[in-house]
Amino acid sequence: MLEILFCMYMLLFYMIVFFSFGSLATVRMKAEKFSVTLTMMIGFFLYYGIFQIIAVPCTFLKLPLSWLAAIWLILVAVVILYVCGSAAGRNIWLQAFDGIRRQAKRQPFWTLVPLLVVAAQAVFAVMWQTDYWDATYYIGDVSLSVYTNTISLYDPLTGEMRSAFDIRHCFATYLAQDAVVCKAFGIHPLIEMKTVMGVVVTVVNNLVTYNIARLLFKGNREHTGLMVVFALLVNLFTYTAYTSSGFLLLRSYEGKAVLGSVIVPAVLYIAARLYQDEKNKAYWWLLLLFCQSSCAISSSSMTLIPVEVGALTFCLTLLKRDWRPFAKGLLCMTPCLLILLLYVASTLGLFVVKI
Amino acid sequence: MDFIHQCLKTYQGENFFLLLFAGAMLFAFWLKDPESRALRLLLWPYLTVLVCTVYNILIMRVFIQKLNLSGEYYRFFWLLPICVVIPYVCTRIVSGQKTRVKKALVFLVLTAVIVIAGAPAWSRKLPLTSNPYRIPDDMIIACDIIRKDAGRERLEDVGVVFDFNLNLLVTQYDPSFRVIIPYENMMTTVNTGRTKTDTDNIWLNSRITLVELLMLDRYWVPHEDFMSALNVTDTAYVVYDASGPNHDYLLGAGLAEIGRTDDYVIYKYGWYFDRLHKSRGYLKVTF
Repeated sequence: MLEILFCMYMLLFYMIVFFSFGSLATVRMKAEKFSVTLTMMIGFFLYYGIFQIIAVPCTFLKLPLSWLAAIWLILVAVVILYVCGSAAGRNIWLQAFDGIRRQAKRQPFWTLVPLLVVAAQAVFAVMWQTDYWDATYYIGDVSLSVYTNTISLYDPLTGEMRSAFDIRHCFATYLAQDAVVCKAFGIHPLIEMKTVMGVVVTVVNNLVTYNIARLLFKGNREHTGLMVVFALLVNLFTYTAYTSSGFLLLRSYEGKAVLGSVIVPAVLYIAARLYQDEKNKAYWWLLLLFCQSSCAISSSSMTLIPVEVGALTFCLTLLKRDWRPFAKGLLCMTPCLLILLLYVASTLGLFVVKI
Repeated sequence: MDFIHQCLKTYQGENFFLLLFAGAMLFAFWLKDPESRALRLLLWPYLTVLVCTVYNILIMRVFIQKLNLSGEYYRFFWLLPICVVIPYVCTRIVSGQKTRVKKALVFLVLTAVIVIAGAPAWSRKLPLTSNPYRIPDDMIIACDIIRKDAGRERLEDVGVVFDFNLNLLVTQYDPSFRVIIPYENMMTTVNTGRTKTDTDNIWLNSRITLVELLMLDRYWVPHEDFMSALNVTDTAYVVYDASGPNHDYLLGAGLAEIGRTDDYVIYKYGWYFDRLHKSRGYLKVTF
């Protein structure tokens, strides 16, 4: 019971943090009406994007995990205090929550439906005993990092210290973030990665679906709610060991779960916004942010996201008959391509960082 | 074509949700209203680009071979917006109905179609979790028994050979345990079925002996060889499958049962502790 309560506190912590980080961006997006769900969705990416910028140097400098945890907690606290302290942010928040309250009064059923869907999916995601072999690497890495107070210096498959940094996983700091949270809050890695992140990824997946539905149905609450329900059904019934839904529901401790069910649809969402208004610089910045933070979440992003961004911006170029969307798309995918280049160099033995 | 067929089969198993997705895409194309314009105009060219590039086997065959991507190729199917297009089209069909009764009926029909086209996530038949770590209770109980028995000994000093399934989990649950059989060593032995190596590597050969005997039950060696493997690897405890055939053999090798869980028996190798205490200059006093 205590663990369930603790997990709920952790979920609340993540949601407040995502909302605060997201507010840093959405409060400045003048052309966009402030939306709580969009803010949290952007906040998720901004959180992991900034974390990567701080965690990667700490990893290569072989700093103790406790140092990274301290630096990160201070930064998170500063962001929350800054956002809470800014009058503009506070006013926009109050208006947004007031809007939700009024809509909930007008259409209580369709306001409640997405929440029930999230709750149902979250319960489903955490009720099973999952012990996939991959977890030996992913959760083992976090457990060893916490235990040895290092940042991924030990190989969970051998239990020994690595001779060189694992370049493929070094930039995907999703695991390091879990290790930081475990160190900072004294939470067990299995609980953090399987249960807390299981719920967090479920919530963010539904935030993305909700925003796509809202865009496609122009804010119609009934249709949006219905689409979220159908998305839940599709997630529940398209299970194989290889589908993104399979990863989302049963292997949320892997960055791949976020890649397939959050990042790929989120990039599609931004592309749809760009289709509506490709001149809006904010969406291009968001696309760049999504590309950068995708590499922070899953190493597979370095191949998948450039393909998606390339294909979508190429389509925009064709539809708008303007070469600039594709050129901007290429610029946005630069972080992924850079990491891919480093990874290829490391496999060829050209980029090896000894520990 | 065979490769694509194989990939699709691997990805969707015996289900046909990709067919449902194709149907939903055709339906979205057929919609002429401005609401679906964004989806139609963006997704069809997007899919065409994907078909010409990452789903084009003529191009991808080179990449897959060069980068050894055959095990990861399925991830490119995540680029298909299945969880967007199917729910969108279903919502459009339901919301297009005039009365509530019709809406409810169509909703049920579409739900049935989704259910039939795919496989539920619970088809993997995972057990329900009974602890917050979402691992088998045996893992927790076995670790507790060893921890209690080890007493003041540091867990780093007492090596444990766990059964295959628990060996996958132990570093995740408690990395302070010294695991005798590393994951890679275990998987290589299991996958290759080797019973000895060509080298004289004692470190490796002793571990292979332990994997064969304690995890796979497919190899038998004289007691002296087994005890030698335990000594070389500094094994202090063995967690062995309760339904395994080697319990008498283990007792004969000088191991003593110190506890059991539902599915496992925990043995202590007393000789290791004698050796450890002797190396520290302790005196053994028996009453």
